[in-house]
Amino acid sequence: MSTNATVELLRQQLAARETPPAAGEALVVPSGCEGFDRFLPDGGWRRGSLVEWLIPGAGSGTLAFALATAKTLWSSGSVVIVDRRREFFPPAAAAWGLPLARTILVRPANEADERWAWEQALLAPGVAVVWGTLDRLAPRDFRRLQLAAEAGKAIGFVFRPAERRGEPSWSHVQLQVRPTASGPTRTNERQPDRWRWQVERTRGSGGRNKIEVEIDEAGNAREVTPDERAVPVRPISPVADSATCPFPA
Amino acid sequence: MPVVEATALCGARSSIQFIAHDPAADLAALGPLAERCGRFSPWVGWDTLGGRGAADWQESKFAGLTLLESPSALLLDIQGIVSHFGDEAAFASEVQREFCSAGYEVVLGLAETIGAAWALAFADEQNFPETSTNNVRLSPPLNWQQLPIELLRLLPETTELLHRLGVMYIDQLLRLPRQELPARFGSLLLRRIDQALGNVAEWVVPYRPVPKWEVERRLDYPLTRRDILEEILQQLLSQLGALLRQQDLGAMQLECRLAGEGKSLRLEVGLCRPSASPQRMWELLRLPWERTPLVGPIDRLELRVLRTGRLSSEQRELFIDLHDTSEPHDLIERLTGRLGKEAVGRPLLRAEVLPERSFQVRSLTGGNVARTVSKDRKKPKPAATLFASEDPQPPAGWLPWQRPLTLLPPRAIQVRCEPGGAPLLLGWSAGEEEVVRSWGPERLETGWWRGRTVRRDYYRVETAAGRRYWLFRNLVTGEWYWQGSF
Repeated sequence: MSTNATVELLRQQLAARETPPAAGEALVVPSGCEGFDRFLPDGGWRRGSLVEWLIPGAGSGTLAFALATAKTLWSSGSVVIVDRRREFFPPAAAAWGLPLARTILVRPANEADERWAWEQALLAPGVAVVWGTLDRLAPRDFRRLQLAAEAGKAIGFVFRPAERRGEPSWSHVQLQVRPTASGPTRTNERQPDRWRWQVERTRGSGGRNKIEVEIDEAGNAREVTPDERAVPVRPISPVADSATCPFPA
Repeated sequence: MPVVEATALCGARSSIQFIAHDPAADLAALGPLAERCGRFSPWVGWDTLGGRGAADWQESKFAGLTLLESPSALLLDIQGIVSHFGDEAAFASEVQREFCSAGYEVVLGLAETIGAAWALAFADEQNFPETSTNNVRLSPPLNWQQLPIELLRLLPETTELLHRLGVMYIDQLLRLPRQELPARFGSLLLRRIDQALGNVAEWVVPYRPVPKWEVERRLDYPLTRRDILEEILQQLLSQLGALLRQQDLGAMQLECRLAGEGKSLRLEVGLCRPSASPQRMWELLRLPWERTPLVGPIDRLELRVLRTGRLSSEQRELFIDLHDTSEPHDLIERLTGRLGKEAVGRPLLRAEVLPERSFQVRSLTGGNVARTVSKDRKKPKPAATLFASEDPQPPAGWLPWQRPLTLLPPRAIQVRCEPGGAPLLLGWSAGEEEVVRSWGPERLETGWWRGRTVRRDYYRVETAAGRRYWLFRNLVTGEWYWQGSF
């Protein structure tokens, strides 16, 4: 059998093993940003999967980016925030559209309880999104979470330090978000706020693996066109990695 | 008195401790005290400013208890009873001794009517120089009509309104046209006046203790084997479940105690929905049970339901809809069972200026009574309804970038500023970052009624690397702090 035929046969077997979506429920949920959807491997957020976000240090805006592109998920169930470090700030999340009335905030005391809470939340019916930071995650535990997400049909947004890139991962898609400075001048005057990121997909099949996205002050995301990319903005400093900021994300 | 006044009286260096008033805890403690008074009278109850008496007291109804509904006194009907103790002074002395043994100091008022007795008990001692001894007021003072109107058990808003009209004392109130009082102040005012004067009858509505749902097993010899203890616990849960089902009740808060050789172990689980299912209760109880080591050999096991709810309110589904988007009660109960009630909750927004106080997390299990921290007795507000009860919203006008998604304890940072105060350079321990844009200042300061004033000027800054932080300058000390990341 040729290589191509073998690959096709394996692909069909994998597709046959996939659990079909429930009637009336879409397996893939668009993010609300067309360009970003084209960038994602499934054309949107895939239910029953883990999305791994690599954070290059504090202040990178990764959480904001994730919230802006996850708005379409809130209506389909409860949101579970696993916040062991107790850094989650509900008023800010509410301003981004997170429905606090359907949010469950879990604050485990240690990493073992944290991983257990993640697994329980991913398995539970009625949960749309599980959200939180997981710094250290052994491959075996990562696999358990992936299986839990598949069984429960929730989407897990797992935020991890960028240093974890290259480690074994069971996420369906892995994204690294790097901010770019939004304006060339220093001013204290009131200006429309916008923030741009270069997003790199480091895991997950599909077409291109880099995209530039901008979010305006109302929290709406859009892809930055090639023409706009040609406008000189302040480039990312070569030392703008997590090492420059002594505080973890 | 307000907190700031108490602080001023005690001095800045005093180790004064402020504890939020918990009306539900007070009510829970009052029941056993009422039971102790059963040896003095068969009719023991209480009344509240809002008019809810002991007969209204059911556990399931007191969620969201406010100060207005918090009893302030126990009422005993002692007609025909005092003679068995000798005289009124001897009776009062016996009552005081009973409460003293429970760790309480009490003031007693004895009178012909409930209203008069209440007024006697709550009046200042200076009004009773001759008739009052050892906190026992056996008869009203001669000038009782010059007592303040608060002693008539009026609603706080009624008292405030009367004060604004210059009516401070009972004799002033009695001089007002009686027929006009209900229209201006509500019907309760006239009723309270008549109750105090004895013009209308008022009875003590007795408190009836809530049945105790508990089962117990004492072992012939102590055990340390967990598998056997689990088996016994499951048998006890079956018994408990059967008891609850007879009354169509389910457990919402369950306590398990294991004791032996003078030591005991206590586990507690909360449920979102009442359940009398032994399997369900065991599934939740097992979570803390598996993580808790035994304190020693166990010879007694107890299970007690601390809070119940009607089983008829429980949704019974024949087929579980895996795609049900309503509250995941099972998940909440499991998380709470293992992690504890304090670790699982719903974030609620609060109308507080300081970001670290602008939200709270409320537990979702155990029929948890919503704590109402109200410093204003006149307008009690359950904390959960400071914003829209269905979906709390941030203050109007907030843009998504207004606040950081990560809030940290304030950490001191070195900042070089412009003459106008905007940050120019951030000094981290690992190096410096240039600020290319900043938004602010946004001034946040607490009011004088919050005690020590906090005044901060907040800035959102963007660095040359494109990172954004939330900083503030303490306007009292001039120091800079980093409090959030976007």
